[in-house]
Amino acid sequence: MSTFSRFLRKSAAKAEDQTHLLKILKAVSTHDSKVEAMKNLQFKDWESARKQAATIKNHVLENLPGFLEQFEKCITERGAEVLWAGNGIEAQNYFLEICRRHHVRKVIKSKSMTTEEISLNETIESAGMQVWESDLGELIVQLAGEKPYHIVTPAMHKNTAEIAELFHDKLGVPITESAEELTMAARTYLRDAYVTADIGVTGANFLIAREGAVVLTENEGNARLTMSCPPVHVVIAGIEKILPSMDSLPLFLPLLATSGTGQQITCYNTIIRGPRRNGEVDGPQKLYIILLDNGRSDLYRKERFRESLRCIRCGACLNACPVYRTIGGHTYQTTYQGPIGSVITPHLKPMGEWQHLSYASSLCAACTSVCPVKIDLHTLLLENRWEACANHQTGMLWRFGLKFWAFFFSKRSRLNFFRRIGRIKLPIIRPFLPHGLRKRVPQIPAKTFSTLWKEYEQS
Amino acid sequence: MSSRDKTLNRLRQSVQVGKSERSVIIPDSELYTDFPVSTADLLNLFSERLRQLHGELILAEDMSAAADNLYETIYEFPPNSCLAHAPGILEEMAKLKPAIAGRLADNTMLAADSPAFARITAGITNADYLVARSGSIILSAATAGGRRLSVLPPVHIVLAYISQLVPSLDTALEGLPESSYITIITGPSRTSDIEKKLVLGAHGPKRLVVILIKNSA
Repeated sequence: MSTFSRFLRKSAAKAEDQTHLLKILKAVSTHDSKVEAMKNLQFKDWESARKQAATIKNHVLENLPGFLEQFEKCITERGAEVLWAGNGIEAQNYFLEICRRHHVRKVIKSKSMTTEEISLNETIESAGMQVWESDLGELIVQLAGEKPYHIVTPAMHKNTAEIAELFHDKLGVPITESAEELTMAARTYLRDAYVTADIGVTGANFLIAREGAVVLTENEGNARLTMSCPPVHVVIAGIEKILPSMDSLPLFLPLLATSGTGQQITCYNTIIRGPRRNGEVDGPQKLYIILLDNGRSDLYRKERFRESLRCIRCGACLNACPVYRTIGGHTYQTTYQGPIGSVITPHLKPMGEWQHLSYASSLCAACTSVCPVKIDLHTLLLENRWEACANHQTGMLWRFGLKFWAFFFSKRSRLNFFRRIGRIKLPIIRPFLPHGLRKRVPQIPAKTFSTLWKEYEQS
Repeated sequence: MSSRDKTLNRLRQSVQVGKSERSVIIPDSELYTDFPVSTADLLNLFSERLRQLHGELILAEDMSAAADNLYETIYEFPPNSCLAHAPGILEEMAKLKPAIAGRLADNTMLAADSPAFARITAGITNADYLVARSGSIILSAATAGGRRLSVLPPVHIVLAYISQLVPSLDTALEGLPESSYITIITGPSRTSDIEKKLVLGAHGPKRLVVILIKNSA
């Protein structure tokens, strides 16, 4: 079955699933009210703040190669090792090489979408090592053998009862209805992992060019533990994560927290400027930074799509999207779901296989209106459709369907013929219409608009 | 060609400079509401924010009161179960309140391996800055006894002076010490990953206690 057919089948199933819908609506509405309140509470003018953020990110994109070199130089001088990975396989190989060098058997990870992108957990496990996800949401989906449902809230689709059952099965925790007890069970389970792991893996929220720093933002403390306890720290980050200097953080940290979770600023924001330094009592002795391209430079070359590299992965467009809310995160079958995922995935993976995501949108522009870095998401979805058509990557059915449509609609008499058939034979052609069987299709009226108009003019 | 050169070349071939507006850094005072100015404002805002975040704030009139406050916070913990790195402040406190020393583990523990370190109940540290606008505490590996002391133990106690309060993050980031690790702490560790319900103490400290000393030495 093709990716597209799977997508259609899964979306149809999820759209009908009332329990799923209620869970997501509950999560999203709690989130929405918090975010809206924090925008007004914290910012004098949200609109000018996000405009400022977009301007800074544009400045980054205009100088990206220079900034990347500056980042590499600064952080290398402070003892880190920077590795450039052209694609996921290369990044995996770098990581395995680092593990061999340091005789790694246990890996602790904090939440990172970039490591999801390169399937790092699978790589680690097939190399015979153990890996623990330490973010609570990520731990839940890891134990359930699933992929993250949402780039910010990985376990959004599971309610307390489901998590209690999962923890009971996998961790032997007594069944409970308390989120507090479940969180404490995860805390206890992971304590040992932090202090005995041989290596800690994190992503990065920002890479600072001028000062040479990696910035991580989180609430639980798992990222801080991951980069404090193990003797080796590996950062895996996309090349678009650059900010010019620390001066941008007083804007970007509150902006990300407000858009992502409706907080003024997240609980922990940590700036890493290298491995343990002389005179410091702890911290990793080695710091590796794997800079991941994996299609980003191709996206960069397409001038129209370049602005999608401004994304700071706050998840706001997912929460706002009526399609995401209806079909849910897993249906996309991508690392990055929702509007931003539908925009970038066809460029990072084969366009032909993934272009259908550009149609998973009503073009209502809710995504564009909430984006904190003002990415014109819904227009980019249209651009994607255009590009797929121009490159003939839309599939036979679509092309012939459109030709068929054009044939009938280009001449009045043919259209009227179609109407006549439709009026009599609607029940027969009904299953072939692309609306899905559950949706009501209006009856075709007896008279066309043009007939009615003529009659009106004559009367 | 290495992947580094491939990526950089590909970016360079299509880079276009000078098309968009120049970005100017806007100061926090223009970006954010509630921008504190006077010392009283700073203190009020900091304590309001920290309490909203479920942090505990203890205001001490002077060093001797602060020493009492510290002892009251840690006396219920087992002997030698607290670990401190607060040069300057802590020595003075221990002089004023010798009982404090009985709770403290030996300072060499700071460099202990993590399994041993994990037995510590409370980490006591200095801070570099306190940020009033967000109720945050900024510390670095240099000032806070490394990376683990403020995150691995279930309780984190911060000893700081009122004079360390700054209005917002921009002021604080200008004057940070040379360190491999700087962290901005805003309340005790938290998560809302299960049905958006707030739970404190996800992986980091469940309790964050700030003892703020009024008369700086």
